[in-house]
Amino acid sequence: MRRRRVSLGAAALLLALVAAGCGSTNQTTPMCSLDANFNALVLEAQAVPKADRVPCIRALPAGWTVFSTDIRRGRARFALSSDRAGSRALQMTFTSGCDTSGATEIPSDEKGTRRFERVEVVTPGFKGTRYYRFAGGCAAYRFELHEEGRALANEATLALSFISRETLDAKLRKDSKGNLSFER
Amino acid sequence: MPRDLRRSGRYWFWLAVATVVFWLLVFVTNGTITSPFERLDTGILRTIEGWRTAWLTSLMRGVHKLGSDWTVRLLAWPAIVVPIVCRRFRHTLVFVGALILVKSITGALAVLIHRPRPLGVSVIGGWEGFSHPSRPVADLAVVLLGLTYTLVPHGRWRQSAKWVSGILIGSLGVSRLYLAVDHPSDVVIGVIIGVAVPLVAFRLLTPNEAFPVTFGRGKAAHLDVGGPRGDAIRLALEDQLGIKVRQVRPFGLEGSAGSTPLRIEVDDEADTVLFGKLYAATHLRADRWYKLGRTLLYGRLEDESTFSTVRRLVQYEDYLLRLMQAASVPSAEPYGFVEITPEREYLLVTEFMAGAREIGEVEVDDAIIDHALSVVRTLWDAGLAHRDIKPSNVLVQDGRVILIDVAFGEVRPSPWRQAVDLANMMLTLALRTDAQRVYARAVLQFAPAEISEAFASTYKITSPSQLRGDLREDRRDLIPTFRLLAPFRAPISIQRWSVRRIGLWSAVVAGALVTLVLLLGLLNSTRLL
Repeated sequence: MRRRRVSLGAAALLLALVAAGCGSTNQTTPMCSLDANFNALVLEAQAVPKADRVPCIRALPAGWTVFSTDIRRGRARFALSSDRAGSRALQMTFTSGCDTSGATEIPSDEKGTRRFERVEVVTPGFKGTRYYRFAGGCAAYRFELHEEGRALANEATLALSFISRETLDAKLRKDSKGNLSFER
Repeated sequence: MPRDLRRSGRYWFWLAVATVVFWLLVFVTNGTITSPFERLDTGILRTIEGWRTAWLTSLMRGVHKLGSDWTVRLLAWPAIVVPIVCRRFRHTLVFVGALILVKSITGALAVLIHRPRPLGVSVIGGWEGFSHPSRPVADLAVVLLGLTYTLVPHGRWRQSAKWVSGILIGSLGVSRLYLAVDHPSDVVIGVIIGVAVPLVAFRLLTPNEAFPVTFGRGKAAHLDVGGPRGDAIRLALEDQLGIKVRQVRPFGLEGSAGSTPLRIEVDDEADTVLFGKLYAATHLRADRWYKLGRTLLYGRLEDESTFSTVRRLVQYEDYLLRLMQAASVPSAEPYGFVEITPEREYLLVTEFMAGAREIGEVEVDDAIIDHALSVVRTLWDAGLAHRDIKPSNVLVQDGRVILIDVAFGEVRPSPWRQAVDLANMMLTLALRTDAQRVYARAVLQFAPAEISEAFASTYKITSPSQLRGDLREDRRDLIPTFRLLAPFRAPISIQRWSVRRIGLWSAVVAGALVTLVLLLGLLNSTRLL
């Protein structure tokens, strides 16, 4: 009886941990706020250490959710899904550089960046990539929208923005009373 | 025989508990208590950073590959596959369980604690996700411990394997600190989780006394009767049956698969020797699987309930032995059984058949044939079936045939099962003589119609595996020969379908599919595929 209780307890603990891990996307998503998931922003900045800014999510429009987040050395990536445009309709990849050959440069809506667009399919659905290049880094937004949500590309990009490394560093220094910083 | 974590197991267990307490404090204080650790971690990393040289960096990058997914995969698969090949499924299950648990714990904690990579130092190695706890270190630790406990036999070799594992885990930890991809506390906690989980799991769920790692011809059912179990057996025999034991040792292991047979030397003036059969939970599970397999293969002819506990299994064999004695079936005299560990291990004690030899090792004459057949007749008359008649269960002592291993016996069996007992006994005898001679003696005690019914009911698959193997090696085709000797009778189908059997088959197939899908999903999520 006691063994069964212990086994049940262990199984419950495992389930709780797995559930915590599964429902964890929100905690690992870099949000454009210093008060929400700040460490995710720091980790993203560490992934591309020379970039002067990092991409983040300002606010998710209705019907959009974070599908996955993957941050590792040299690359950060998160995917957004939409109830109309489909699963992983927008995938953002942040690296130190992008190949923008074949893409058209258009005036950027983000100060301090250059914007490029490459459109592949406009019907049915929408497929294309938008690049933001800036000092030390590049953010590529890959759109793969279903027909039903093909008009949502702009709505989705409104959800994304950038936060400067300088801002992050200032917060780090303040929180650690000067002990921690991106700089050595 | 309580389950024992042993000293090092308790040490790692309490380290893990201390870690959990620390995390709880971190959550309760909203991370305030981590400041001194942050400073200490950064200080250590900065000191190590000062030691960097080109050749050391190159070396550490090489060592760092120990934590790669490929290394973990390469090490994990042998720990999964080899025990399966050696039919030690429990080891595989415990290892896969420990691996999934470690991956789940470290993955979930990384997200809950979301600690960035070291700051204020130059990170010069590859990393993935948050840093606390160090997942590559925990992963390497769990697979190395898994390899140690699934592949390396207990003793000096396992001790050496633990040292090697320790050195490899330590090397990976050092390399990750040198490359500044982890904080020192990440590595320490990674080691604690990666070692404590498999160590506690293996020590509790696959104790060496019950589930030894062996690669020889020994069967998984055989338990080690040395050490604490040997002491427990001596104590139980003295306390419960008043038998003072001089020595207990395994005996005739090759002929037994369902229990651990023992020779018990009693410490008395007559130098009495007793026979013991040690049963554990593993045997109970084996019995359940055996019966499920038989039900699936043969249907309602073999339908029977499984035993719910080891105690009931031993009680049943003790009862059958007493029943056989009462029915004058020559068999071992039972002396009762003793409890070694409540509901887990029991020892059945009977007389020791001194001088008895397996029928396959003696010259079989007509007297022995007649006596062996009369034993079957006695079983029939008493409404009993032995159900496991094979050369190793038919002993000859002073020209008398004795049946042993009555655990599979049945009271009021089906006529089919009784007929199969006769056929199996005749086949056992014919292996040492010839079919014509055995048939000629059999008609003196059984009607030809009974013999033809016995062989109409008998197929190779209805014989115990040892007898089946002997028949395969013997080139005389004994079953068809007996069928020719006896009056013709159409073969009796052994397949009986019932709603229960169809339900069982459906449940087994569905269960296997669900298990496969779940397993593939789990292996995929743990990056083993």
